[in-house]
Amino acid sequence: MFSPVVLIVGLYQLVQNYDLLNTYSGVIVTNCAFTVPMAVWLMHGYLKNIPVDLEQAAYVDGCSRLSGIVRIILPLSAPGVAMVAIYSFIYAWNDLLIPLIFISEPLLRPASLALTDFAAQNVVYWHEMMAASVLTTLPIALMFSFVQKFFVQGLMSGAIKE
Amino acid sequence: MVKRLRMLPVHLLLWVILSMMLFPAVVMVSTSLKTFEEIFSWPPTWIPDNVQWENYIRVWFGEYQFSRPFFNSVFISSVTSLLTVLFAFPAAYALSRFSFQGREYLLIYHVNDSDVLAGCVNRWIVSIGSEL
Repeated sequence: MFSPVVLIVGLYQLVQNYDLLNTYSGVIVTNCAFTVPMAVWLMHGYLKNIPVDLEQAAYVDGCSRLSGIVRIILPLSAPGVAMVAIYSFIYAWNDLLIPLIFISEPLLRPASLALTDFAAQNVVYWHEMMAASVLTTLPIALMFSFVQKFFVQGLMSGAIKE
Repeated sequence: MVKRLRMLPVHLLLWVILSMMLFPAVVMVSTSLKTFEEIFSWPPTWIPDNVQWENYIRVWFGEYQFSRPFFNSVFISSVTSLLTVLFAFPAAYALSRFSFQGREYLLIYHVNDSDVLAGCVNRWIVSIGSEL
Protein backbone atom coordinates (compact mmCIF):
# COMPACT_ATOMS: atom_id res chain seq x y z
CA MET A 1 0.00 0.00 0.00
CA PHE A 2 1.22 3.46 -0.74
CA SER A 3 -0.31 6.87 -0.75
CA PRO A 4 -2.91 7.70 -3.43
CA VAL A 5 -1.03 10.96 -4.00
CA VAL A 6 1.40 8.94 -6.10
CA LEU A 7 -1.42 7.94 -8.43
CA ILE A 8 -2.99 11.36 -8.82
CA VAL A 9 -1.31 12.39 -12.08
CA GLY A 10 -2.29 9.19 -13.82
CA LEU A 11 -5.78 9.24 -12.35
CA TYR A 12 -6.30 12.81 -13.48
CA GLN A 13 -5.41 11.90 -17.06
CA LEU A 14 -7.72 8.90 -16.99
CA VAL A 15 -10.63 10.86 -15.57
CA GLN A 16 -10.03 13.69 -18.02
CA ASN A 17 -10.04 11.29 -20.95
CA TYR A 18 -13.36 9.87 -19.83
CA ASP A 19 -14.82 13.38 -19.46
CA LEU A 20 -15.53 12.80 -15.80
CA LEU A 21 -13.90 15.91 -14.36
CA ASN A 22 -16.39 17.99 -12.36
CA THR A 23 -18.93 15.20 -12.07
CA TYR A 24 -20.08 13.11 -9.14
CA SER A 25 -19.39 9.97 -11.17
CA GLY A 26 -15.68 10.72 -11.49
CA VAL A 27 -15.26 10.96 -7.74
CA ILE A 28 -17.50 7.96 -7.06
CA VAL A 29 -15.73 5.69 -9.54
CA THR A 30 -12.31 6.68 -8.23
CA ASN A 31 -13.40 6.17 -4.62
CA CYS A 32 -14.73 2.74 -5.56
CA ALA A 33 -11.42 1.81 -7.15
CA PHE A 34 -9.73 2.49 -3.84
CA THR A 35 -12.31 0.79 -1.60
CA VAL A 36 -13.19 -2.32 -3.63
CA PRO A 37 -9.90 -4.23 -3.12
CA MET A 38 -10.08 -3.90 0.65
CA ALA A 39 -13.80 -4.69 0.55
CA VAL A 40 -13.25 -7.87 -1.48
CA TRP A 41 -10.61 -9.03 0.92
CA LEU A 42 -12.69 -8.36 4.03
CA MET A 43 -15.78 -9.97 2.54
CA HIS A 44 -13.79 -12.96 1.29
CA GLY A 45 -12.71 -13.68 4.86
CA TYR A 46 -16.31 -13.43 5.99
CA LEU A 47 -17.83 -15.57 3.24
CA LYS A 48 -15.23 -18.28 3.74
CA ASN A 49 -16.59 -18.93 7.22
CA ILE A 50 -20.08 -19.68 5.91
CA PRO A 51 -20.24 -23.44 5.29
CA VAL A 52 -20.74 -24.55 1.69
CA ASP A 53 -23.13 -27.26 2.98
CA LEU A 54 -25.77 -24.62 3.64
CA GLU A 55 -25.77 -23.64 0.00
CA GLN A 56 -25.76 -27.24 -1.16
CA ALA A 57 -28.78 -27.90 1.03
CA ALA A 58 -30.48 -25.02 -0.75
CA TYR A 59 -29.60 -26.53 -4.16
CA VAL A 60 -31.14 -29.83 -3.07
CA ASP A 61 -34.31 -27.95 -2.26
CA GLY A 62 -34.37 -26.53 -5.77
CA CYS A 63 -32.56 -23.22 -5.53
CA SER A 64 -30.42 -22.07 -8.42
CA ARG A 65 -27.01 -20.68 -7.56
CA LEU A 66 -28.27 -17.11 -7.76
CA SER A 67 -31.30 -17.66 -5.56
CA GLY A 68 -29.08 -19.65 -3.20
CA ILE A 69 -26.86 -16.59 -2.86
CA VAL A 70 -29.75 -14.20 -2.45
CA ARG A 71 -31.74 -16.34 0.01
CA ILE A 72 -29.03 -18.07 2.02
CA ILE A 73 -25.65 -16.40 1.71
CA LEU A 74 -26.67 -12.75 1.60
CA PRO A 75 -28.74 -12.81 4.83
CA LEU A 76 -26.02 -14.79 6.62
CA SER A 77 -23.31 -12.42 5.54
CA ALA A 78 -25.28 -9.29 6.50
CA PRO A 79 -22.73 -8.20 9.14
CA GLY A 80 -19.93 -8.55 6.58
CA VAL A 81 -21.88 -6.59 3.98
CA ALA A 82 -22.71 -3.93 6.56
CA MET A 83 -19.08 -3.64 7.57
CA VAL A 84 -17.94 -3.23 3.97
CA ALA A 85 -20.65 -0.65 3.34
CA ILE A 86 -19.62 1.36 6.41
CA TYR A 87 -15.95 1.07 5.57
CA SER A 88 -16.46 2.47 2.08
CA PHE A 89 -18.93 5.11 3.29
CA ILE A 90 -16.43 6.44 5.81
CA TYR A 91 -13.63 6.28 3.26
CA ALA A 92 -15.61 8.33 0.75
CA TRP A 93 -16.81 10.74 3.43
CA ASN A 94 -13.32 11.45 4.76
CA ASP A 95 -11.56 11.63 1.45
CA LEU A 96 -10.26 15.08 0.55
CA LEU A 97 -7.65 14.37 -2.11
CA ILE A 98 -9.86 12.97 -4.87
CA PRO A 99 -12.54 15.70 -4.83
CA LEU A 100 -9.80 18.32 -4.43
CA ILE A 101 -8.24 17.23 -7.70
CA PHE A 102 -11.36 16.32 -9.70
CA ILE A 103 -13.89 18.94 -8.65
CA SER A 104 -13.52 22.64 -9.25
CA GLU A 105 -17.22 23.51 -9.69
CA PRO A 106 -18.34 25.06 -6.36
CA LEU A 107 -21.82 23.50 -6.45
CA LEU A 108 -20.49 19.94 -6.69
CA ARG A 109 -18.02 20.03 -3.81
CA PRO A 110 -18.41 17.51 -0.99
CA ALA A 111 -18.21 18.58 2.65
CA SER A 112 -14.54 17.67 3.11
CA LEU A 113 -13.60 20.09 0.35
CA ALA A 114 -16.04 22.79 1.45
CA LEU A 115 -14.41 22.81 4.89
CA THR A 116 -11.27 24.28 3.36
CA ASP A 117 -13.29 27.38 2.40
CA PHE A 118 -13.19 28.74 5.90
CA ALA A 119 -9.46 29.29 5.70
CA ALA A 120 -9.02 32.53 3.80
CA GLN A 121 -5.69 33.87 2.69
CA ASN A 122 -4.80 35.76 5.86
CA VAL A 123 -7.44 34.70 8.36
CA VAL A 124 -9.03 31.42 9.36
CA TYR A 125 -12.63 31.57 10.56
CA TRP A 126 -12.10 28.95 13.21
CA HIS A 127 -15.50 29.27 14.85
CA GLU A 128 -17.38 28.70 11.61
CA MET A 129 -14.97 26.02 10.44
CA MET A 130 -15.41 24.13 13.70
CA ALA A 131 -19.19 24.46 13.51
CA ALA A 132 -19.08 22.98 10.01
CA SER A 133 -16.70 20.27 11.25
CA VAL A 134 -19.12 19.29 14.00
CA LEU A 135 -21.91 19.08 11.42
CA THR A 136 -19.71 16.92 9.18
CA THR A 137 -18.59 14.64 12.00
CA LEU A 138 -22.06 14.06 13.48
CA PRO A 139 -23.54 11.67 10.88
CA ILE A 140 -20.45 9.44 10.89
CA ALA A 141 -20.25 9.43 14.69
CA LEU A 142 -23.97 8.63 15.01
CA MET A 143 -23.82 5.92 12.35
CA PHE A 144 -20.74 4.36 13.86
CA SER A 145 -22.21 4.24 17.35
CA PHE A 146 -25.14 2.23 16.00
CA VAL A 147 -23.22 -0.18 13.79
CA GLN A 148 -20.00 -0.55 15.78
CA LYS A 149 -21.08 -4.04 16.82
CA PHE A 150 -21.31 -5.20 13.18
CA PHE A 151 -18.04 -3.54 12.38
CA VAL A 152 -16.06 -5.34 15.09
CA GLN A 153 -17.86 -8.61 14.37
CA GLY A 154 -17.17 -8.36 10.65
CA LEU A 155 -13.52 -7.44 11.07
CA MET A 156 -12.94 -10.25 13.57
CA SER A 157 -14.38 -13.00 11.44
CA GLY A 158 -12.53 -11.67 8.42
CA ALA A 159 -9.28 -11.68 10.35
CA ILE A 160 -9.08 -15.40 11.04
CA LYS A 161 -7.35 -17.34 8.31
CA GLU A 162 -6.82 -21.02 8.46
CA MET B 1 -12.36 -4.84 45.88
CA VAL B 2 -8.76 -6.08 45.69
CA LYS B 3 -9.30 -6.83 42.03
CA ARG B 4 -10.58 -3.33 41.51
CA LEU B 5 -7.52 -1.87 43.17
CA ARG B 6 -5.29 -3.97 40.99
CA MET B 7 -7.06 -2.71 37.90
CA LEU B 8 -6.71 0.91 39.02
CA PRO B 9 -3.48 1.70 37.09
CA VAL B 10 -4.98 0.18 33.95
CA HIS B 11 -8.12 2.27 34.32
CA LEU B 12 -6.09 5.41 34.95
CA LEU B 13 -4.08 4.73 31.80
CA LEU B 14 -7.27 4.15 29.84
CA TRP B 15 -8.71 7.43 31.11
CA VAL B 16 -5.54 9.26 30.07
CA ILE B 17 -5.67 7.72 26.59
CA LEU B 18 -9.38 8.46 26.28
CA SER B 19 -8.92 12.10 27.24
CA MET B 20 -6.08 12.43 24.74
CA MET B 21 -8.35 11.00 22.04
CA LEU B 22 -11.29 13.19 22.98
CA PHE B 23 -9.29 16.39 23.40
CA PRO B 24 -9.48 17.52 19.73
CA ALA B 25 -13.18 16.71 19.57
CA VAL B 26 -13.90 18.72 22.70
CA VAL B 27 -11.85 21.64 21.42
CA MET B 28 -13.80 21.43 18.16
CA VAL B 29 -17.19 21.62 19.87
CA SER B 30 -16.02 24.33 22.25
CA THR B 31 -14.53 26.47 19.47
CA SER B 32 -17.65 26.11 17.35
CA LEU B 33 -19.65 27.89 20.05
CA LYS B 34 -17.36 30.89 20.46
CA THR B 35 -17.28 34.29 18.85
CA PHE B 36 -14.40 35.12 16.52
CA GLU B 37 -12.80 37.31 19.23
CA GLU B 38 -13.08 34.73 21.97
CA ILE B 39 -11.13 32.09 20.03
CA PHE B 40 -7.93 34.06 20.52
CA SER B 41 -8.61 35.11 24.12
CA TRP B 42 -6.05 34.09 26.75
CA PRO B 43 -6.38 32.00 28.86
CA PRO B 44 -8.52 29.85 26.54
CA THR B 45 -11.95 29.00 27.86
CA TRP B 46 -13.58 25.57 27.72
CA ILE B 47 -17.11 26.86 27.98
CA PRO B 48 -17.67 30.05 25.96
CA ASP B 49 -18.86 33.14 27.84
CA ASN B 50 -21.81 33.63 25.55
CA VAL B 51 -22.70 30.53 23.61
CA GLN B 52 -23.00 31.19 19.89
CA TRP B 53 -25.48 28.71 18.43
CA GLU B 54 -25.79 31.20 15.58
CA ASN B 55 -22.51 29.82 14.17
CA TYR B 56 -24.30 26.64 13.18
CA ILE B 57 -27.23 28.48 11.68
CA ARG B 58 -24.94 30.82 9.77
CA VAL B 59 -22.86 27.93 8.42
CA TRP B 60 -25.87 25.84 7.40
CA PHE B 61 -28.21 28.51 5.99
CA GLY B 62 -26.03 31.60 5.73
CA GLU B 63 -23.37 32.71 3.28
CA TYR B 64 -21.56 29.36 3.23
CA GLN B 65 -24.65 27.27 2.37
CA PHE B 66 -23.04 24.26 3.96
CA SER B 67 -26.10 22.08 3.40
CA ARG B 68 -25.25 21.76 -0.29
CA PRO B 69 -21.73 20.27 0.18
CA PHE B 70 -23.08 18.18 3.03
CA PHE B 71 -25.69 16.49 0.85
CA ASN B 72 -23.15 16.18 -1.96
CA SER B 73 -21.05 14.22 0.49
CA VAL B 74 -24.03 12.11 1.53
CA PHE B 75 -24.74 11.31 -2.12
CA ILE B 76 -21.15 10.52 -3.08
CA SER B 77 -20.56 8.38 0.01
CA SER B 78 -23.83 6.44 -0.32
CA VAL B 79 -23.31 5.64 -3.98
CA THR B 80 -19.68 4.69 -3.34
CA SER B 81 -20.77 2.42 -0.54
CA LEU B 82 -23.53 0.83 -2.65
CA LEU B 83 -21.27 0.28 -5.66
CA THR B 84 -18.50 -1.14 -3.49
CA VAL B 85 -20.87 -3.73 -2.06
CA LEU B 86 -22.28 -4.50 -5.53
CA PHE B 87 -18.82 -5.09 -6.99
CA ALA B 88 -17.13 -6.62 -3.97
CA PHE B 89 -19.78 -9.17 -3.01
CA PRO B 90 -19.76 -11.24 -6.24
CA ALA B 91 -15.95 -11.04 -6.39
CA ALA B 92 -15.59 -12.14 -2.79
CA TYR B 93 -18.15 -14.91 -3.35
CA ALA B 94 -16.25 -16.24 -6.34
CA LEU B 95 -12.95 -16.07 -4.47
CA SER B 96 -14.35 -17.93 -1.49
CA ARG B 97 -16.27 -20.67 -3.36
CA PHE B 98 -14.41 -21.52 -6.55
CA SER B 99 -10.81 -22.47 -7.00
CA PHE B 100 -9.18 -21.32 -10.21
CA GLN B 101 -5.75 -20.42 -11.51
CA GLY B 102 -4.29 -17.28 -10.01
CA ARG B 103 -6.72 -17.17 -7.10
CA GLU B 104 -4.02 -16.72 -4.49
CA TYR B 105 -2.34 -14.13 -6.67
CA LEU B 106 -5.61 -12.18 -6.93
CA LEU B 107 -6.04 -12.16 -3.17
CA ILE B 108 -2.50 -10.97 -2.50
CA TYR B 109 -2.77 -8.41 -5.28
CA HIS B 110 -5.99 -7.10 -3.82
CA VAL B 111 -4.50 -6.65 -0.39
CA ASN B 112 -1.41 -4.91 -1.62
CA ASP B 113 -2.70 -2.47 -4.16
CA SER B 114 -5.73 -0.89 -5.65
CA ASP B 115 -7.01 -1.96 -9.05
CA VAL B 116 -6.45 1.43 -10.58
CA LEU B 117 -2.76 1.24 -9.88
CA ALA B 118 -1.65 -0.76 -12.89
CA GLY B 119 -3.74 1.18 -15.39
CA CYS B 120 -2.95 4.71 -14.40
CA VAL B 121 0.72 4.34 -13.60
CA ASN B 122 1.07 2.69 -16.98
CA ARG B 123 -0.64 5.66 -18.64
CA TRP B 124 1.53 8.06 -16.76
CA ILE B 125 4.73 6.32 -17.79
CA VAL B 126 3.57 6.13 -21.40
CA SER B 127 2.81 9.86 -21.40
CA ILE B 128 6.22 10.65 -19.92
CA GLY B 129 7.74 8.44 -22.58
CA SER B 130 6.02 10.33 -25.37
CA GLU B 131 7.32 13.62 -23.98
CA LEU B 132 10.92 12.48 -24.17
